[in-house]
Amino acid sequence: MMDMSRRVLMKLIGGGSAAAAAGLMLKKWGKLIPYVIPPEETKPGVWSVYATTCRECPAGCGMHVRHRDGRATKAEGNPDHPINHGGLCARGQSAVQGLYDPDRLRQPLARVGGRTKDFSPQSWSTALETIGQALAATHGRVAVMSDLQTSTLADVMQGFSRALGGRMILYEPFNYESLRQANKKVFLLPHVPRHDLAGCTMILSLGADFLETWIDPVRFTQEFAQMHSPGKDGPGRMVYVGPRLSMTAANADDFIQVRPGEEALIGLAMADTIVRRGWCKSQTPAPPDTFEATKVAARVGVSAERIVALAEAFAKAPGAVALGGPPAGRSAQGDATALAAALLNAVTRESARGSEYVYPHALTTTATEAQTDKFLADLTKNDVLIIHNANPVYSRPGAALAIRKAGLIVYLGTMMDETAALADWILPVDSPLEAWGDYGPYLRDDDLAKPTTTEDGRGRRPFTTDLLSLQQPTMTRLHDTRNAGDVFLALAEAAGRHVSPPDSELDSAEGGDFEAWLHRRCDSRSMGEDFFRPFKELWPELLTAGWKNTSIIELPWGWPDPDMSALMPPEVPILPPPGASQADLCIYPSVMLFDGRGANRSWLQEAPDPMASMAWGSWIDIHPRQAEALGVTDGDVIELRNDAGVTVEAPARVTMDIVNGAVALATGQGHTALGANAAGRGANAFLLVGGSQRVTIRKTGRNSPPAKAAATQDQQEREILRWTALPAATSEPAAEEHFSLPLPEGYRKGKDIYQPRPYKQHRWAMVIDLQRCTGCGACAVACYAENNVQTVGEARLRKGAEMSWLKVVPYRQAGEGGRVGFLPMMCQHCDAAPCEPVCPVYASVHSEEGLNAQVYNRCIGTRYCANNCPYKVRRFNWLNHEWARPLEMQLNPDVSVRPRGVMEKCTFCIQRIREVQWRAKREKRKVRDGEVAPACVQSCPARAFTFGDLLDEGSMVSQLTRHDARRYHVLEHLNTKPGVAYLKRIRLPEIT
Amino acid sequence: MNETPAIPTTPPTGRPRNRAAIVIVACLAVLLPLTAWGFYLYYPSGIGPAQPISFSHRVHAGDKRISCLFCHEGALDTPRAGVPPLQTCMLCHERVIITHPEIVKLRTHWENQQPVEWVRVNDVPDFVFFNHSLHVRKGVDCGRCHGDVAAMDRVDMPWALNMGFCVQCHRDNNVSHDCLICHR
Repeated sequence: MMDMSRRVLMKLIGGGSAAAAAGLMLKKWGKLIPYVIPPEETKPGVWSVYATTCRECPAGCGMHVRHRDGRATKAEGNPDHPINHGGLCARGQSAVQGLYDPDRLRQPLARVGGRTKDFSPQSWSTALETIGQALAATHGRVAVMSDLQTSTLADVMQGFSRALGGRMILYEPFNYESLRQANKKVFLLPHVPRHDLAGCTMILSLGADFLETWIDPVRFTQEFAQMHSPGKDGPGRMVYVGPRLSMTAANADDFIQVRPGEEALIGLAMADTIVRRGWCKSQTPAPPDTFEATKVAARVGVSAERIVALAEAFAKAPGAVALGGPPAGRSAQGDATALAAALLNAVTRESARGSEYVYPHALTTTATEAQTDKFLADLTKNDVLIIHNANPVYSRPGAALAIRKAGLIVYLGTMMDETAALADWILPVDSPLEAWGDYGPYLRDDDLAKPTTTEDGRGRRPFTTDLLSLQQPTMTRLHDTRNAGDVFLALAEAAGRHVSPPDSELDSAEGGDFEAWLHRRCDSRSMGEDFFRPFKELWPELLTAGWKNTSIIELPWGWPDPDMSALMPPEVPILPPPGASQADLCIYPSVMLFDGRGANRSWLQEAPDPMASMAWGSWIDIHPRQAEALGVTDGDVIELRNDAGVTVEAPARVTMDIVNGAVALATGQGHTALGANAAGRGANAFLLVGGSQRVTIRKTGRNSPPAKAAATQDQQEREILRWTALPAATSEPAAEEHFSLPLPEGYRKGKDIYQPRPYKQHRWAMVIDLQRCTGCGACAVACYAENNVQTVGEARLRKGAEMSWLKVVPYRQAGEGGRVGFLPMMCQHCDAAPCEPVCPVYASVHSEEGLNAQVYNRCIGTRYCANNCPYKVRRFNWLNHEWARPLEMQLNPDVSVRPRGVMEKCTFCIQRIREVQWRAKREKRKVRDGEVAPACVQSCPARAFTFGDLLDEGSMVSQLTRHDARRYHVLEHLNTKPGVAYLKRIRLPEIT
Repeated sequence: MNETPAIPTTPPTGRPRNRAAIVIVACLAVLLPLTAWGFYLYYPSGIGPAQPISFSHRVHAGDKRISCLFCHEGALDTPRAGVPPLQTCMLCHERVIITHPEIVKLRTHWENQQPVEWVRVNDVPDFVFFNHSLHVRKGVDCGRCHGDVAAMDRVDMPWALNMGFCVQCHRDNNVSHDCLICHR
């Protein structure tokens, strides 16, 4: 460079400028590709919504899937659906991640040349031909195993197995068999019942986690929140008896911690007391005194007075319901628990309005343990085994061995899970968001009177449903997949068989593809006035609504008075207290991962467990006393070994949440396949299901605590989450209470540094009712989905680099018997926001409508704002996030994707506010109260959130903020004047 | 040092030897600005990128006076004005001027049901969320941002649609220029 002449320098400067100038002109032109013929319902840049049914668990909630420019981007609850009324749990919302899962099966695969060979891609025609030939050759030996399906797909599978002379079961790892057996004894119907909690004033849960995973969690959450909030009749009461402080137990007013199985004793003692004292109208002979309150009290360490008081409260409540029965497996204790709940409901049936046994849940049709065992044991090399969507290899220890005996294993599903990995043929089917179908979570009684799972596959009627909930494609197929129903029909055709609907007297026409079957079935379910209307008229209505009720008759149903002396179990076997190195095992379905089917979805992995605040792993709950005896501290990896010698390892979580002498482990983790996020992570609790209850604990010497999303659950005496006794809940706020509104009227001279902010049009604000919040975490996942929030993964979460804009923190009340409350914490949109004055580049500014805006393209990443935020809700992008293809298709086009070096936080879903404002402007009207629903508000099954305009005196949010006695601001003394007000959680006096 | 050679003198005739070159240069010097001026008159905002089908906005919006909203129908109701689907073109060109080579191209696309991949001209960065319908309904003329499209054959951006441009107009019309109006 030293010998560069002036001439060369000038050349370079000139050339450089020219290049720069040219570069400016060389704009990167993008492409605009319009449709040739646009689909009617799709407009570029405009949201359309498809009503469909969630198939992430057997509950069958109604979904509205938001669709934009050819992509489904977000799943929300269908506000009119009779199951979930607009709420949707975290798992349901993760359905879109299931659709775009990078590890999804994309084309048919087969092991050519034997089971030792690897999978190779095949064409659909080869697949159907080969399997069809095998089916034709092995006539009479087809075995179909599917996850729970009802309605049309069940018809097709039923018809398929009948046409091929085979057998079929519906397999679910959580089949509630104890519950079904108990109800058969007491109510003469082997049903999973339908409980209605909204009409109750008292709920007794005997270890049933009905707000998390038990039968119908979203509906239960909604109804529980309603009965549990201070309405006209005051808040109802929930009593939870069980060994583990689960999320449901944390919401109870009375949590009675007992050793595993003792909840059955307490339930039976309550039933016994109610009968003995004549608190029920049922005429029943006095039961034997095995479960007399004093006798039980001596065994369980709960006073007889308390048991009697609970029984009295239960019997005398205007509406009461007892819930109980473990979801998985059968045990004497589980059976007794379910029986206790059924007996309690039976003896108080005048008041027990909360149970409905005539229209049972679809889960009733799932295979029992014995049926599944027989199905698997009967498999031989002459069988063609077709498994649809079920993953028995993961969820049923020993199933792999039986399945391998089948001559040909065909797997129909969306993911390469443990069962698929064992198959000879894998036929990829549509994700539930791409497929036509229907699902009915509640069944009609007349069909259930007959056996529903076929032993021999002949002459059975299908399962018909009371509620018809439609499933429709929310976008075009991503991969080379087919509808499962069409695959079954094509396989039968390839085998030279004709599949006819089992209900053929209703269907004059036959044949056609699965969609034709679905249309015929929906047509045949038209009842009442609809019966006389043409299907062409009904179909669009059904597509819009997403569901319809098909029952026209209310069946009266009565059951005989329970014969307590005959129904009471002779004894409930409770194991003696274990030694230091042994414990009783509690296995529970994880709130986020359920039975493990969604374990590859990063939202569900990253969403922390409501109680443990842990994510991306498994942990074993162990009581401090036992941990001390074993020398185990938090994060020490311990091994559980049952009598059969099966071992499971996971880090310990030393906590009082579990009763001394028991250990608890959640299902859902510990996959060996399924995908990059799930495989090799955590421990598989299913390995221990069905084994001995008592397990031996061994310290392995390693220490690897799971990643935690919240450093502490201790409030440090800051009263972040507040409780109140009941009486104050219904009156006006106390005058002396310190509460500054985030409005000019909240300005106080001398106290405030900054001038009041004038708001002209709106002041958006939120109220969160902590009495309603159950801690389920649906809001947090909704926020991930709506706002393109990146999931950081285990390693970065460990470093505290979490990105969640909204976090539900379980705060413990010190010295209050371990009460827990859940506090959703997000940006408080303060009026005097501490983050705003410290930003050197005005990236954190106050908007005209009261929002605390973060301007991403101004932000230079000093992080001063996060340091100055007392609520710790600001998140910094340490890295650019890569969305594994095709997950980037899920991104919300209305929200910027933030790059590295930029601060971000809750925006109150500004894009949704704008959408509503724009709509109102186009329609030349004002924004209505309740019209704007940020993602968290929309998704909340408990309706804990209220959002609206604080300037509008009549708005709900204004009423609550100004007049509710339970209102308070978190860290009010800092005078930040938050836009989010909380309503205190109510503390009812315990029943003693 | 060598002696410097004598400077050659002009020929005695007084006529420069390279007269032809001078004439050409002079003509160019007159013609080029003239052409440029003519070009500017005809294409006041320049020529945009070449499109797969040389569609002329001048013909459609200018000569034939077809409303912008006839093709960009989303502008009235939706955030995006939208590029018309092929179907819209075929409303007329099913019958009108079907032999023109460019329209033959269009019809080939239609017959093959192949969408045309237009080159994008107007664009704002991804962190800007603009809504056509609100502006159009407020009576903001399309040309306020897009220039005189009726005078463009190949559409070009008449000026950069940058933040200064947007904020100036918002300021002039006493409209909010809160950050969250456009950014989120």
